[in-house]
Amino acid sequence: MNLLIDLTLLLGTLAIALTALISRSLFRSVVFFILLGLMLAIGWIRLGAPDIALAEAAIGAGITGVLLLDTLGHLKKTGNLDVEESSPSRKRLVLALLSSITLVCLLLWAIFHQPTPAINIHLLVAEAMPDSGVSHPITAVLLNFRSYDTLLEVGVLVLAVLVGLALQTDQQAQDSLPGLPNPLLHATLTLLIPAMIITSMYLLWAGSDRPGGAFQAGAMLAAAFILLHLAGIKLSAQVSHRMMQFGLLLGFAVFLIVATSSLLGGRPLLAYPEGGAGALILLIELALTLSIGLILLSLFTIANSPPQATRTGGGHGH
Amino acid sequence: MSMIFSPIPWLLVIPLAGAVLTMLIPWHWRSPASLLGILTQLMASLILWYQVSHFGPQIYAMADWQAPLGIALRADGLATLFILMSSVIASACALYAHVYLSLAKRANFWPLLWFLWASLNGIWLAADTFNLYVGLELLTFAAVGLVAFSSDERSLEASIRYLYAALLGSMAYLLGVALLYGAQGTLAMDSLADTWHWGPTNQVAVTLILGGLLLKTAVFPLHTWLPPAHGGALTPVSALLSALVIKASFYILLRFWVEFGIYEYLPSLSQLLGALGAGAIIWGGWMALKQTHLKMVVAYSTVAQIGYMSLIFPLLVSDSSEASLMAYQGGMLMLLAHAFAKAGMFLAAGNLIFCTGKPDLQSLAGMSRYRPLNIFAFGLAGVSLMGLPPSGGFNAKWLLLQSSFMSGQWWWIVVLLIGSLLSAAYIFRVFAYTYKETDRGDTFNRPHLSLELIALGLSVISILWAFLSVWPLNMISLPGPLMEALP
Amino acid sequence: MDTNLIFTLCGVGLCGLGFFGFIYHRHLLRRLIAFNLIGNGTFLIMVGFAQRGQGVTDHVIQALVLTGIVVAVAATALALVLIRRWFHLKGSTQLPEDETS
Repeated sequence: MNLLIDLTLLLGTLAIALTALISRSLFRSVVFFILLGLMLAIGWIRLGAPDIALAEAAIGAGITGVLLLDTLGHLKKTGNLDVEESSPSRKRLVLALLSSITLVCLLLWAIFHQPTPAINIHLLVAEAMPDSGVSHPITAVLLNFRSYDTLLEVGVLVLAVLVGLALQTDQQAQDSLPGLPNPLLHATLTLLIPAMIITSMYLLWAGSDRPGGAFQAGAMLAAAFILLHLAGIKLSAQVSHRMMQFGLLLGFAVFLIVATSSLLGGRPLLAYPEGGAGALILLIELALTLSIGLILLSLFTIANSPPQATRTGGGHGH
Repeated sequence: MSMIFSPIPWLLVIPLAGAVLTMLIPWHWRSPASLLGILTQLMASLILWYQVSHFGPQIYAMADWQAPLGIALRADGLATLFILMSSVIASACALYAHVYLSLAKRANFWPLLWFLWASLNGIWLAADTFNLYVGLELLTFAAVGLVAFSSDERSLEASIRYLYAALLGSMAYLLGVALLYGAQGTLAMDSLADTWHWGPTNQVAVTLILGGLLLKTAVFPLHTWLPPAHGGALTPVSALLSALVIKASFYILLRFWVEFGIYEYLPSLSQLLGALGAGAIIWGGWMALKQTHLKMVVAYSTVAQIGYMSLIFPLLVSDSSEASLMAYQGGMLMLLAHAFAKAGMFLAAGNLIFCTGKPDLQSLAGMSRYRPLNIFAFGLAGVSLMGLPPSGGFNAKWLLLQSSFMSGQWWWIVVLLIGSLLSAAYIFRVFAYTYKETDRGDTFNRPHLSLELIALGLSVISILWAFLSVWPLNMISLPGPLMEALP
Repeated sequence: MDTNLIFTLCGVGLCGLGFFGFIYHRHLLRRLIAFNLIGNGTFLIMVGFAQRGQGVTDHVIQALVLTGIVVAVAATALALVLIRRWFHLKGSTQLPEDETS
């Protein structure tokens, strides 16, 4: 039975991916891509990875999907959606086929010759769990054992927003979406948004001993923000530019301050003081959740607002 | 040995904090704050250099969790040299940018630079394959942002090409890391090396990692994204990209190649890398000769110089350990000399373009009379790139030549000679344009003196390596994981 | 055939399809979707392959995939910012064909 489910998921996923790839209509491609994310979320559950399933559904399918759909809307408005695509040349087709077949063969060869790993890292994880300050192993890995990776990863998110903001130098960029004047939507939202925020907080809280954590919670928060945004309630208009910037950076800054404070205490970077790990992890996660929500929202709104008229030449000199 | 104060975490914390601060504080505070940060970075690099050269390599366990559960950082001689190199060059480019860019541009430049610097330091010190992936992505985003923010059409196109190539490269790298982890159950470089197992899985993993990193380093024929990105960015950004950013993926490749013994097990792959390097030297040199824009000449010269560095891979494979050591030293000296020479050359080229107001070679007429100091800076950098004595480039090529002789791989000597002739040709071609007379009179813009001095300073250092090359060579030969893995 | 192997193979398929699309297509948005397919495939291989080797649920690799997903969405967003600007400036959805460079 389980095998049947797995095989169905395998075939379904590949079929959906193929459709997303070769569909003539770009809109259908994006929709199938989002569908793929949802299929994968089920796959992740089968793989025993509910944390990833949550993240895949919220971030992989949700946020990425919204970003892509929004870009489609933008293309449609500027009349670029139906522009005749010059069909790729035959040379390209052959090259693409050959490279992808080579890749698949190599990967299959590698996978069917898997040696038994010499190191069993899960034993190390199990051994260190009592000292980690949390009881959910994934949160322990993300925010304690390998917290340095997570710090840099949040840096990557901040950096993506920074590049977006740097390109959109016009501070008064008008929003291109007029907002959806739908009373039913507003009514639904008044129920939905608090529910989403509560879910987000639950995910954050759950992360210490169950699947969940700052990234999933942040994505949920971002989804709520984006819905509000689409309904015409602009967060950026309510909050001053400076506050917004502060909110974007809060998570990264708190993380960095906690990391550095351990240096001042004579411990290595990112090492929590004895007994304080749980509380500090929760503090970092709280700040991260808010910031990730705002960062993902900003990535959406930045892409959303039209760029200013270009100044060619680039400003040289002083 | 108990180390009371280690500068390693500060080399990461200061740039990351710099990025946050320079995003938050008002525009006119960003430059002074950054200058302060630059000073502390230089100081931390020097302290690290002192400690490593006196007490030997350092291992730093992040969050107090030992690898392979946690993430370790390693500062051996090679890493320390790269930290120092990037500190000096990034500082010079930052000072240049401070004068060169307008206030509005500068405001966004600082946080991007700090992220770039943090990721570079992170990569030089990294000893964990997944941590390297995150570091590479941070580096890519910062570099793409820096290319894009000159905000004209050409640089936008270049940044999209760059981003797409870099994303594909990192994904290939990550796929390789996934296979390695599945085969060996660890991400830490040291434990990977200890339990290395040459089966099909590891061979495919190495192939994927190699492909991804070659794409990110822009090794011929995967170089097409580089010239528009490096040639089209704002001048201080071009210098940073060519001098430092491409070196990051090359550095990772070298570490994998030596520490995991890939060069011993797959010597034919090493020859292939050498052949790609030869292709890069000849194709890059030839394309540099054909360019009409000054910065594109310099960008294609980077393609060619990456080729020289790739010669290290076949030359490491040798019966004589002395020849291998020479190849390693020659390649690293080449990288070091190129970093300084290319930064100096890009900055000098930027100054010339600022003077004439036009990017093309034709408009350089009269420059050698009007801006002799700048032409001198360009020329000194050129001497090192061509490999004429006395220069760091010459010493590096000399070591590579000797290594080729000793290991009997004479064909690389031919490549080195052709490459030198080509680089001489494209550099003298630029000179020929500057010596032309013009009737424009004194209508040129005058760059700030400090801009010319920074370019000159970097070029002079690339020459000085001729006399000081013992110092970096000793540095990289200090005991460490990479040295121990050399034959 | 256990679950881990099946999803590893699924990942291989996604990587192959994505790689094909990334090279074949010229439309920037389609290439971005293809990149995300490669990404999803890689994540599946990471977890499936590691757990197949270890024989148990591997929390370390799962945490890394979470990091990977977040980095991938940041990459997608960054690419969208750039290509939207490109659409806006050039009215084109693809980059000009490479000159022989």
